[in-house]
Amino acid sequence: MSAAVLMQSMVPAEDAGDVALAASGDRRAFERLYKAHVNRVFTLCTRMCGNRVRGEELTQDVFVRTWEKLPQLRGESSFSTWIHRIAVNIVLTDRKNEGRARKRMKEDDDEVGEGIFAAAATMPRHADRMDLAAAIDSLPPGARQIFVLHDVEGYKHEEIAQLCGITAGGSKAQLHRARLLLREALNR
Amino acid sequence: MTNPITMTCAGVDEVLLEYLEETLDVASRASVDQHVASCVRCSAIMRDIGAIRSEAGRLPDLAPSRDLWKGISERIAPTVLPLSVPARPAMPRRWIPLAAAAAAVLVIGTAGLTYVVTSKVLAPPARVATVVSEAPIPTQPARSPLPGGGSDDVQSGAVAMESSSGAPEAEAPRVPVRPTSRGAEPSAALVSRSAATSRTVGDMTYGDEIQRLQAIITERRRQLDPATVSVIEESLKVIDAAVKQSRAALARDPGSGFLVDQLNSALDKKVELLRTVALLPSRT
Amino acid sequence: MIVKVVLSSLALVACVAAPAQAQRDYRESLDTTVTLDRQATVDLSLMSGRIDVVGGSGSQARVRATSTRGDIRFEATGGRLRLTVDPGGRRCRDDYGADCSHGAGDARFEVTVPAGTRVLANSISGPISVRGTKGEVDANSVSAGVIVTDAVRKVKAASVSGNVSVSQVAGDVRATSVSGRVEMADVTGDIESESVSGRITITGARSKYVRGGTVSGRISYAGTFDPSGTYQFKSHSGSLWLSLPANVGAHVMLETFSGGIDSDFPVTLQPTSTRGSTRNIEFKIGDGRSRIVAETFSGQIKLQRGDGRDSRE
Repeated sequence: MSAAVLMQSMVPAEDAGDVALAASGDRRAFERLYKAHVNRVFTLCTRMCGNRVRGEELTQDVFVRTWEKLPQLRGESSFSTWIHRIAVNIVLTDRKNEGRARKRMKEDDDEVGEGIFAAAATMPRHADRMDLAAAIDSLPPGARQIFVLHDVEGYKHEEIAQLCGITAGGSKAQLHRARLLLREALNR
Repeated sequence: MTNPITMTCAGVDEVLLEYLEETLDVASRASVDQHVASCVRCSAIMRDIGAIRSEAGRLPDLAPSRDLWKGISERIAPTVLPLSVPARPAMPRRWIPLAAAAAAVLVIGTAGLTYVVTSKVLAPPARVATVVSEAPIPTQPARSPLPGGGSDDVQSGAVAMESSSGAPEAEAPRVPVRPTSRGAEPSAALVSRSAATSRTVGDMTYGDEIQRLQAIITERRRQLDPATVSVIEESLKVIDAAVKQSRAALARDPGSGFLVDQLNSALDKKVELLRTVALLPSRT
Repeated sequence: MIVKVVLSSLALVACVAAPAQAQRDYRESLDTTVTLDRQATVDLSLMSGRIDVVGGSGSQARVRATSTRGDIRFEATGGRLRLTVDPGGRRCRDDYGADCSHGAGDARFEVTVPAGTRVLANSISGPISVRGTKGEVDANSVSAGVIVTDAVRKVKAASVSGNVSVSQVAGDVRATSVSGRVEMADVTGDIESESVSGRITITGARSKYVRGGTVSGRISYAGTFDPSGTYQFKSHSGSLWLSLPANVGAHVMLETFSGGIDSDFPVTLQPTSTRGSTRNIEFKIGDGRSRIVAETFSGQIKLQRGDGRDSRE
């Protein structure tokens, strides 16, 4: 886990009371948990899906799912880690459903993401190059999700493999591809 | 052992993934390091990817463009009718006033019970303290009469009720079970409350509500399809039989948490069914 | 852009082939296509007739509706599409000018929605079918059946006297009927199912949380038992039939007042097996990690080895 996530999981002492209250149906306590965690959840959802509007929708889905499952939270898991995992699952499920619906995604992960280069090409030629966040948003979906999970959120390849239903080797390959694409886009 | 192979740019590209994942053997790694030290192209790649990894781990959190709580709150709200909004907004409004008024009465009169009924319907089992617990099932499960004179928190305990008084429709009071934290043992003191206290509390909540619901249904009977009415009536008979059997068993074993739970379940079903009927749209 | 259409004349939006007695059979019809946002909501309701929704590709929804009586009301924005029938619409006059507005008449909605669309469907006596929408579904009928298949995230399906069938859902399901049958197959999320007298059958479940409750109906469950899962079944007089794979690891708690317990698995009775007037059996199978709870007042609890084929109807 990255330092950022570790810090989050050290917070739970403040959450513990609200978690217990919320698990028993106290919506105000859950609202406090929402306020404490919404930015982290939104950040994760948005970076993984590459779109702020969709990120907001997914964030709401995460909190609704968290509310429903809160009584199942085991004592040994911190709320932060747990909601983080729910968020990852929801984003990945969202992408799987979208993929099945489209049958064949235009931004298929077997193809080079034209989006990232198009995005880079439309950036104004300032002294500042395209920033990393924008470049991440423009990655092909599969590569983006794995890059975010690994390099941004600190998940290990084995964890990513389990979450995404791929092999650890596949995760590494996607990550490598993502980094090379980002490098190219940032250097344009 | 020194690797005699001289690394080229193409060779670095080939092993770059393993190098970055630190799974490359020592000798090959040394070759890559040696090449990178003197190659502008490859050193730029290493530097850039290193910078990307470093920056990625320090990206700041984002914030939504608006407060998302309202949307979340609406979705996690229990399915209780709001006071002024029709139950089924897609249905023509004139179907609704009677049902909405009925629902308003229900909600005002039994805010706690209504919340509990819907949360019992919607909630996962952890909210029912008796069956989801990491701890061994206690001999006296967490079903207990309301602490007498105590908290007005209607979620603080289940209530056992016996209608040995012969009061006809004095339905068993059901004060819902507060979900305990996982593994918590019920307080033994709660188990020993008197049934008399419970009955009084129960009459004030459950009994009144069921009577009110039944009055609404009697009034709405003509508006509903006769076949549906027949199904409802048969179902109520099934439930009432279950209530009667549970009560009879509980009269013989008043300390049985299982029987209290069975009775509560049957009464919950009754309230749920009556509410469903009260809110059904009219057929004309 | 908001599109609001209330059809209250005989004008047809699109041609509908009409039989000779069309004037009495189809007073209103609608055939249109609208573009919807991703994961928009489609809200359909009618009194009697039929609602059929299927999932399609692209971003457009195709809406076809007919009504023998009453006005079809249609509203559409990018994020929401609503289709209802107002039975208080025009009075029905037959070919001889006589009043034929007895009853609400029948309506038929056939809607194709983009994948991912959230579908709300309500009827009184019309069957509802929602297939392949790959989004959330909330479908309710009073006296007719409800069928939902190939949905995701969250499904609610309910009927008072009709049968409810839910299958192929990658998400949580709540399916209820008072007296009708409830059947769930191939659900991979949390499952809740309730009935009064209707039979509940759950097959092919891969869920970590299952809760089934009935008064006099029978509950049959066949699915996986996740090591961290909780599986609760409760009835008053209905039977509880659970099919457990041979390699299951579960902590099992069974309790009954006057019912019977029949288990294919060896059970060692503990000293606390009788609590007052109830019989309680608690035992472990395999590693004992899943939690299985079955409680009935007077019904039969049956634990059988297998994949549940025997218990399927």
